[in-house]
Parts: sequence; structure tokens; C-alpha cells
Amino acid sequence: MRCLLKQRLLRPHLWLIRFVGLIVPRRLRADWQQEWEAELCYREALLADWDKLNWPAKLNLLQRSTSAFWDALWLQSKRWEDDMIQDLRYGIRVLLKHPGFSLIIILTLGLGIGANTAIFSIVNAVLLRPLPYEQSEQLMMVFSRTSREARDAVSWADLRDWQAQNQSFADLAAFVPQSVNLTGRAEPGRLIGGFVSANFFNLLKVQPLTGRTFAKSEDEARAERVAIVNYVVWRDRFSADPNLVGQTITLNGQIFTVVGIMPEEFRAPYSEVEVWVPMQHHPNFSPERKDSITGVLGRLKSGVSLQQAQTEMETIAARLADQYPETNREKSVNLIPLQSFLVAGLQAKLWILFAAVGFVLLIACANVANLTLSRAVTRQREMAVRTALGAGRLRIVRQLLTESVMLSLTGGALGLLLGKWGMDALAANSAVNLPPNVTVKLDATVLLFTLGLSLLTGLLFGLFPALRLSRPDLNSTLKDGARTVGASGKRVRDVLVVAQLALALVLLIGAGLMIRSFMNLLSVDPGFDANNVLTLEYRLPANKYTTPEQQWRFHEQVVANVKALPGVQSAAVFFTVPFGAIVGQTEIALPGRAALPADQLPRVQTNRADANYFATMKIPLRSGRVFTAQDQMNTMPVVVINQTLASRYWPNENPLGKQINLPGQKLTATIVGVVGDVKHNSLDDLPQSQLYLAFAQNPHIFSSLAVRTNSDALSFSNAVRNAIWAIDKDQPVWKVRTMEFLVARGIGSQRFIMQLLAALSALALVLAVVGIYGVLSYAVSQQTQAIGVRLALGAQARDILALILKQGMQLALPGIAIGLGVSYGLMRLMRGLLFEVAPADPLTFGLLALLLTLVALLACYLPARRATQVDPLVALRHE
Amino acid sequence: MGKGFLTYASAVILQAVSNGYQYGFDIIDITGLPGGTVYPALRRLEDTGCLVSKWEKHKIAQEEARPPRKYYELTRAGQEALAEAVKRYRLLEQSDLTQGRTPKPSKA
Repeated sequence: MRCLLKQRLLRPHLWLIRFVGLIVPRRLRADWQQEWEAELCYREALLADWDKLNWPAKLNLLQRSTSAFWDALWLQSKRWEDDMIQDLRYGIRVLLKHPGFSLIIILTLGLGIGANTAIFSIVNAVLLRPLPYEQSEQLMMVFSRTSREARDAVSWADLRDWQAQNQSFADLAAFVPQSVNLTGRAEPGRLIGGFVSANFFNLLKVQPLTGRTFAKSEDEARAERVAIVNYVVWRDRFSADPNLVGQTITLNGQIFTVVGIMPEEFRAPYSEVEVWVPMQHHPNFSPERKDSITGVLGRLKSGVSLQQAQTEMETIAARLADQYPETNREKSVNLIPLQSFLVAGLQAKLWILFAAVGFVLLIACANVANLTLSRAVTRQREMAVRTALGAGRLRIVRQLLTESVMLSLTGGALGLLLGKWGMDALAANSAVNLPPNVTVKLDATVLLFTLGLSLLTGLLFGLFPALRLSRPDLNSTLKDGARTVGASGKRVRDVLVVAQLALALVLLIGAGLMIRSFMNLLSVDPGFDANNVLTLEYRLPANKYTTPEQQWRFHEQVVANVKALPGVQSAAVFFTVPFGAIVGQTEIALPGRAALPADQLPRVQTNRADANYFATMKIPLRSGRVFTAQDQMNTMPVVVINQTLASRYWPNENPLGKQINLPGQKLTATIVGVVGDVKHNSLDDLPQSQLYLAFAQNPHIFSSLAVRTNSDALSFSNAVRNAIWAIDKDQPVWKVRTMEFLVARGIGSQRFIMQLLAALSALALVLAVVGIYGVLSYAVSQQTQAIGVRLALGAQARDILALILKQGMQLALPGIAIGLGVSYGLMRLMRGLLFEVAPADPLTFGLLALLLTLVALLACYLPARRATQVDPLVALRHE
Repeated sequence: MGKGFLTYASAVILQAVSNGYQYGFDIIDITGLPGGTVYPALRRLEDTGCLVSKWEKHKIAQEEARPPRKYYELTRAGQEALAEAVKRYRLLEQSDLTQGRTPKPSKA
């Protein structure tokens, strides 16, 4: 029996084994080939013995050898397994041998990835994750659209008609938040109330934890007084009383029965709500069509698009406008998806922050890539040896990529930890106004993001060095210890440094613009003196203080009591607190001028104030007088206006003594004084027309108190509260805050973004500077011989200095130029956030470019100095 | 057992090996399974520790002027797995494997 392998050509089955063997992993190839050849030879020999080596037999042999293909295929998985584990073990050894190098990379990447994870978790929670309601994409905010307001409240009568006539919505519900007094407990308190129509919870498809939600009958007038409490209130204020359902609580002075408790995860759509009450019991409830009292939430029927619903609602609104011209003329409808409504202000800010951390990561990657490239030089020998021993290029690249991905995954793990801290810190920071129904957490999406980012980062900074290293020039590398990465390696490093500097400059300019914007905001005069002023609000129960006289008497008493406290300079009652997020508005008409239709009357900001208000807040009086004790309910109605209102409507006359109509209040008042402008909503408000009614003449159950004190205002909280409780011990007071706090809160998010951008750009600056320093250091060490030659030929130290500095500037200046260009294009995206600063503000651009140039120069100086200290003799001998 | 259940094909192959058909092509012949099934199954069984592979003695191969062949043997774990599988796949007992048809099992 002979099986002469030499006669392979005549044996197609053996030839096929050879061929298929090419795909078997090299390590297993020899054994595999032998196994198959041996079987085939043996069988062939047997057949020859039996004289059966005819064509069918030969074909059978060939057929058997084709099975080898499936075997070889199965063995592919072995290739990955073994090689992968080999790579990993080798990689770990390499990285542990150079712990400093590995640690720096892991730290750098950890910071970069961590920042991205933190910001992404917020982006995910706010923008990407759907709202925590069933089929939340169907939920819409439904506003009335008038010629003056795109998002106006809706009247109860209109809502009823919409519900009856529409086909697009599965349901429409009313929802309006307002504070309610909670009494009958140890301390009178305040709850954030949510006044809703009975179908509200059905619309949101939520079930209560215990008890029930509202029944349809509770929407009718004279309905039962029922309330539903939220989880936190039940747990904290009612000590998780298991029998709360069925008990009564006193809200706004009236008895309500608790019928249900909502589950812990449930959040009201656009406001925190602590207790839900049917709309009928809202203090301002009115079924009249002319009173727009509530917000409306709608759920679209499945299959109905926003556009279809919008069109249908507009038709219905037009029908109502025809039917009820006095109230509904020119009223239309505005549909806004709930998600968009909630995130509107945040979107731009979040994406800007996301871009900023993305830049920081890119800069970090560039640094790491440069580090890896310089380390690559020292590994050239190792790679050459491996290649000589038979490692394919792909193998080496895979090995190196495994190392860089291991580093980046470790960095990613660190980044996850750092990111979690960052995320918690951000979410807890109240300056970040997240919508109330958003919970920020590390869910699967964020984890996947971090993992993906880590992998991508590893590939990004590892690919080029791997490609370069895997193709060494064997001869020269093995002979002498080659130290260069070659010309294209240098080019890559230079490009990376230029890119780093450009990105760093973009971040610096972004931060710089935000800082300028913030400084501008800080220097805005709010129109009053916010120092040492304590404020609070309260609402009198309507059934206890039924007449305006009773209400005013209470307010007067409060001022009297508080003024008597030691350390109090003055106190005042009034309607809405500036920066308190509530502003009153009313329409005015000027007698003697062209009459305008009701819905085109100008609207002005309105407040009600007592005689002390302007003095307490230190709002300057420009002319005339403020309110006095003589302005009573039975005397002539008077108003005080601000300068903007005065100059707008009486530009060349004296407004004092003129009359002004207030159709909403049904009164005509005389202007007795002109005061300075006040910023009521925010420091970046444009000048607004403002008008003050005398609180004594127009009392209200709702009131605010301002107290100017000699020293730290907050320390007076208890004294002031007790002064009020001395009048009525059951009167809840809330929102006890200082004016300073309120004003600062208004610019809280601006400050926060500024701080974050400043921190990120500082980090980016450090990274970029380290980058350019590293590259230049390296360049100097490469050029030691050349420098030595120059020195030997008579060059001075300053010539060498200039030489190296020039090389450094050749990197820095293009980077800065590109950074300026990119900033010019990108900064316009920040326009919405900037206050009185142009996105292309030349001062900011110029200053920061100069700063970066100087810092880069400094970073170049150290290697340059080192270059001048080269000893020419040593250098020339240096290999 | 911890290895999960054997497929029918793997059980058949183990049975063949335990009956003395220890070379790859012999297993293909006696079980009637195609080579594309048998060889991957042999690899898998070897990975899970049911089989070990050995090369036949060089002397024999040299005498016959051909490369040494690879043969497979059942391990203790393989025997247990086979016993368990036989209980489950009753047909195995009744298969032709116990009736030695040509070719005879080769000597190792």
C-alpha cells in the first residue's frame, strides 16, 4: 500500500485538501491536513488492494474530501478563540510593563468618557427617553391661540365644546396647578395643588396606588369635595397613614375627603403636584366662556396625526368663534406635543454641553494617540521580530488594537464611575431646571453609549499607530535600534496637535462668551434693591375672609405686626413678587384716544402694592407720589405707572392726573405717580410697561410680603411667620425666600452653563498644552544631532531657541487660526444663550486667541530651552 | 453531567466509537452520516471532553508508506454521556452499529 503524496496532482482529492486547508487556522493546519490526507490515503490504498480503484471509487474519494470544507469552516471559531485570548494576555502583559503610560491613558480617557456619560445621561433622560406615560407620543398640550398669545389658557365652556365636537382626540382633560392651604395639622402648610377634570387620570392611563381616581360626577357643580394625594405627601406629611383614604383634610379652609393615593413613580406632566382636586373647587373656577382658566391636555386617537388634529381643532374653533363672537372671535387652537413643550428651553443648552464634552474627548483622544505613537517607536523592534517570525500584518494590527481597546475599555469603566458622580451632581443641582417628570439614571441606553464610546475611542487612537507599526522596515529595524516613526508619523502628530489647539480654542471662546454674557447679566439693574429683603406669599381662605375689607384688614395687620419686629426697617404687602415666576397682566385703554377692539388692547404688567412697597423695595419715585393711607376703597381709584408706560403713551406730556381705563377690573383710575422700571421676570427682560394698583383699593386673598431688614434677611423667617400666625394661627405661609435668592435663581442656569463650559475649556486647554509640549519635546529629542551640528558650527543659544519656538508656532498658529474660523461658524448656535454679546464678539475672540498663543508659546519654551542646553559633542555622538 | 444533552448525531457517533469504529472515515461509513456532520461533531465532542484523539503508531504508518491516521477514543465522561443518551434515544440500541458490516473497524 503506497500513498505517494508526490503524485498529488493525479489525486484531486488530496489537491482539494491542500486547497481547503488554506482557510484552516495556521496553528491547526498541519495536523488537520495530515488527518484528512491520512484517511484519504488509507482508503485509497484499500480500494487499490481490492482492485476497486475505478471511476466511481475515485469520485467517492473526491466527494469525501469535500466534507473537509465543513470541517475547516467549523474550525474558524477556533481561530478567534485562541488568537483573541493570546492577544488579551499579551496585551495585559505589555500594559502592565509600562504602568505609567497605561495609567495616564486610562485617566485621560476616563475623564473624557466620564464627562460624556454624565451629559449623555441627561440628554437621554430629557430628550431621548419617552415620557413616563403610556404611549406618551400621543399626548398634546392644547392651547388657545389669540392674536396676542400663542399659548393662552382655555375656558371651561370651550373645553366642553371641544370634547363634544372633536374626532381626533381620545380624550381632553383640564389641568391647572395652584397652591392650596393645608390646615388642621400641627403647622399650617401649603401643598402644590393640581386642579383637574375628572378624566385626567384616565387620559394619562394611570391607576392609583390605593383608592380611586375621580368620577365623572365630581366634575359637576356642587360636587363632592374629594382629593387625591401624591405618594411623597402621603409618606411625609401624613406619615404613610394606611387609613388615609376615607379621612378628611382641610384645603383652603374647606373639608375634602381623600379618595386615593397616587403611586410613587407617577409624576404630573408639567408641574409638581402634591394634591389633586376636581376643577370645580378651583378658587377662580368659572364656567363662563369669557374666563380662560385652565390648561388642557389631550391624548390623540391612535392613527391620528398632529396635523390632522390641528386642522380639525381649528375648524371647531372657527365654529365657536362664529357662535360666540364676543368671547371667541379670532380665537384659534395651538397643539404642541407634550414632550416638546417640556424640553423647549433645555434642548439648545443640552446639545451645546454635549458638543463641548465631545470636543474634550476628541482632544483627549488626540493626546492619547500622540502618546501611543511615541510609544510605538520603542516597540518597532518587537514588531519587526514578530513579523520576521511569521506574524501577518493583520495579526499585529489586531494585537495592537486589542491593547488600545483594553485601555479604552478600562478608561470607559473609570469613566462610567466618574460619569455617575457627575450625573448625580448635575441632576441634584437645582440650577439645571429639569422637567419634574424626568428621572436621570444610568439605564441601558447610557451604558451602551459608554461602551460604544469606549470602543470607538480605542479604535480611534489605536488604529493609526497600529497600521504604522505593523509595517516596519525589517532590515533596518532589526539591525539598529530605529528611533523614528518616519515622515508620515510626524505629520500625523502635527495634525493632531493642530486639531487639539483648534478644538481647545473653540471651547475657550464658547466659555468666554458665556462668561461675558453672565457678567452683563449681573450688572443689570433690576430696578430695586435686593439686599436684605425677605419675601413670602400666602393665600387667605376665601370662606374665612369673604369681603375685600376683611382681606385688606388682614394684610394691614400683617404689615403692622412685622414692622414692629426689632431689626425690621420696613415691610409691605403687594400682589406678585418680582422674579417669583408669576406676573399679572391687564389690558388698558386710554380715554380720549382711538378706541380699540377688546382683543387688541395693549397689555401691561400689573401689580398691586400698598403704600410701603416702593420704599421697602427701594424702587425710585420719578414724579408725583406713591400710594398713601388716604387711598382707600371709598376714595378715588389711583394707579402708579412706570417710566416705560409713561414715555410710551405720554411721550411729551406729564401723565400725572391723567385717566386710565382698566376694562378687566372695570375701573377708571387716575395716575398719581411715576416710578422707575422694574425687571419682573428675569434680568434680561426688555423694558416693559408696568402699572400698580393700590392694594388697599383692590384687595385679594392672595398676597406677598416683603420685609427689609437690617441684617441677614433669612434669619428673620421665624419671627415674621410668627407675626403672621399671631393674627391667625391657621394661616399657611410659603415661599419664604430672600430677594437675592430669587434674583440669583433667575440666572441660575446661565451661571451653571458658564461654570461648566469654563471647567471644560480649562480641561481642554490643559490637554492641548500637554499635547503641544509633548510633540515639541519629542521633536527636540529627534533633532538632537541637527542641533548639535548647529551649535558646533557657531549658532548661539538664542538661535536654537528661535528655531524650536518657530517649529512650535508653526503648529500653534494654524491651530489657532482654524479654531477662530470654526468658532465664527459655531458660536452663532449659542445666540439664544447670550445676553448683550454678539456670537462673533471680536474682543472675546481676540483675547482668547492671544491667551492660547501665549500659553502655547510657554509650552514650547521649555523644550526649546532644553534644546539650547544640548552639548554639541554629546549630540554629535548621539545615535 | 453539566454538558447538556447530546444530539442524536453525536450519540450515534459516540456509539460508533465505543463499538470500535475509531477512525473518521469508518465512522462516516458505519453511521451513514455525511462527513460534513461527522467531523464537526468529532471536534465538538473532543472540545467537551467526551473524546480524545490520538495518532496511530508511526511504525505502522511507515510500514504502509502513508501518513499516520488520527483515531478517537471515548473518555469516562464520554461513556457516561453515551449511557445517558442511549437511555433517551432507544433506537440506538436497535441500530445496525452492533452488527459489524464492512468495512471492519481498523486496528489502531
